Amino acid sequence: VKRLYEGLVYDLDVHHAWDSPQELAPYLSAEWRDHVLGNGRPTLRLQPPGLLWPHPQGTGRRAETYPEGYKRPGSSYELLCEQHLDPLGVERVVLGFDIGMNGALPNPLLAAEIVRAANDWSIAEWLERDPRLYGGLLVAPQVPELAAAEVRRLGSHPKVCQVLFAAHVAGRPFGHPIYHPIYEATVEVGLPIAFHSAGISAGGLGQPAAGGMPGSRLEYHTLAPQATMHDLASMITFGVFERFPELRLLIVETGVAWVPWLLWKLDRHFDALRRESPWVKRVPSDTFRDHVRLTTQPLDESEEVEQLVDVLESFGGMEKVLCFSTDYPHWDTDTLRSVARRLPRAWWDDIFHGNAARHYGWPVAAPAPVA
Amino acid sequence: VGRNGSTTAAAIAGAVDCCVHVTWATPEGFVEYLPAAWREQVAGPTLRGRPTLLPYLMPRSPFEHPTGAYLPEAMPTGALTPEELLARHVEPHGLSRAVLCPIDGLVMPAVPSHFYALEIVRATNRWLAERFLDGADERLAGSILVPSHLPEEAAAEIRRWADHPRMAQVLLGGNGLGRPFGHPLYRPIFEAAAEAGLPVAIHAGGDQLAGSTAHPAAGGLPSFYTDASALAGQSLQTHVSSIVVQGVFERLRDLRVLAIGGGVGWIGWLVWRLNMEYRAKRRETPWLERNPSQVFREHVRVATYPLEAPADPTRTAQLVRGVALEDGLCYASGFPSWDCDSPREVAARLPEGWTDAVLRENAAALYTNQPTEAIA
Repeated sequence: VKRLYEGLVYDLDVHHAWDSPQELAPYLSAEWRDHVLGNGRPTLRLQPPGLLWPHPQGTGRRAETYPEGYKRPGSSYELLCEQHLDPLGVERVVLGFDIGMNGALPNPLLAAEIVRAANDWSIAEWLERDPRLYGGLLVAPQVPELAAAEVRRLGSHPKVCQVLFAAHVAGRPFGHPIYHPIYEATVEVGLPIAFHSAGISAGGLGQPAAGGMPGSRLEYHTLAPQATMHDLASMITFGVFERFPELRLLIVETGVAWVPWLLWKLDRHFDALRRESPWVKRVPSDTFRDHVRLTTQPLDESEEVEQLVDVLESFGGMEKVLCFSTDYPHWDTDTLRSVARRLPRAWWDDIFHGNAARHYGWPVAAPAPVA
Repeated sequence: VGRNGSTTAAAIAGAVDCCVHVTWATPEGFVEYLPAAWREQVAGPTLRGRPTLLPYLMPRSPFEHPTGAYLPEAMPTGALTPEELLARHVEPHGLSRAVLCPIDGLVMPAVPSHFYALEIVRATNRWLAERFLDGADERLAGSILVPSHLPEEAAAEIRRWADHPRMAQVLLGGNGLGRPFGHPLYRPIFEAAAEAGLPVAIHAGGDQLAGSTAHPAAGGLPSFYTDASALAGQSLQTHVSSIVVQGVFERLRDLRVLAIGGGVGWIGWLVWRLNMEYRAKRRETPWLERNPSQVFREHVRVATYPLEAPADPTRTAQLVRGVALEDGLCYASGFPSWDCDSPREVAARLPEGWTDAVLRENAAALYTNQPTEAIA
């Protein structure tokens, strides 16, 4: 199978996981270790039971990504290299935990502890092991000052490239002033932030869908990006980017075809918005273009290729917004070829590496081979 | 970027408007349609101070447009008489028909006092029929607002009005049950609508009541009118997904649903995503035998209001061509709300050649109980 695109590739959404919470043991503080590890066989899941709707195939992971012994997909570095990094020829990937909903555990202090241990685990076991691996820094946004402290603690590590928000339990989307101390810290350490879709879990105050609780996983997962759209709207309406002009945001795994709809709706409200939110100075779609990037996966599968291109071209400038991602090892992974064949060739360099390079301050060309 | 639709007078004449917003100027003008006991509760004297509870007749959304939600001519309440509607909207745009939607009633099903909410809904339908339809200009048609929080009562309300010659559609707003409209709880409503041969319109914004179990937006509560209003289409997305996926159309093959108030740009994102999810998860919904996109195409129509409006209208045309099909959209104005669209404005933002279908033909096919000669 031809890959179509042969240039430099950065993949901004790859998931890594611990197979057992036992792996976190060396990174847990003494006072929490007993609670997390139980009586020698850990039983806690360490993330909220977000999925009231089981995946009808029994797993949300690709079958071939299970390491030998039916270990957890994403838990084997060797398999990641063999199945993904080497064949794709990917220069850098951004690791994002198993989505990272751990920060939304109902016990906020346990959430902060798991996140802290997970970050240390990720840096030691993954990021420092391979020059291709970069990672998000997980935060538990429900206690903003602890989240800000975590950003300051590890945000300057050279392999940490963003601060990752996967879910909140506070009932207010991410533009709300309660979260601003976290943005202050991320700007201070010079990191962009990322919102990963599908993170609003059942049991918190943030509903997974507007208008009522979905009746199937099919509906739940279709609609999951609604919460992230609200997070984006709220970042704009609260004027977060006016307050923190250096802040940049990556939206992960929402699909991309909703952008003209939401941003033009927000633009049409600009007169109302300036009155009810006087710190907002710029038209929402201008703020979006300057501060926000989107990952491509799952790239919207229009029935005709031209339909998606029409949607993206209608808004204009999306070739400078979209950044390639695969979502390995999850079930709905995109491939380099599947993305290349659905987007115009003239956009490929920007989407496969250029936009990510500018977003993270990474090289725009592959390093020259050593002679 | 292609050429846009024709906006000549001939091209836009005779448009069918699927959604004109109507309400009453003062609660005094409405309360006479309530049964005596409820009239006494809201309009009778209270023990101290205020003469009545009338100012609290209707709940208010916590999200208010800072300069008012209506065009200047309809401020402050949005109320216009049938004569004013005809003179300011129907005549100037040469509409062949305008379907009226009682905008303030949309939130009633989410009001916690369920029998009170039921009576307000019933009175709203009596008020609409008597004030706007009976004996009035035949270009005005109505919507049957239903108390979706009490589905059996809702079905009875549909049957009560089904034979009224000028009631063109059933109207769902918010829901008081915290479940989207594909839930089996609501089956009596869709069965009654199908039996009456009426399409079911769902109007965005009904879930914006404070304390609604249905939530106006995903991910938490909005803080501004801008968020709440720009995201109002999200509950439409949820309801439409639910109705498609939970198999309402598999049971009722002739039923049509019209989604009003979220614009049209969301269609592609939602339908393509439903298809992709269905491919992986079809085991979960064994009753669903067709691709969601096929079900959507056959059964769901989307009203243009409020049509996406970037400065360059050719951009809207390109978006519309990407996300929708020519026979999938029906013109709706939303008049006299602040963001309403005239038929000319909509035609100017449609792809070339779509004007006939979107302004007239699709609505004629949707409102099969309305005489086609009046619509044509």
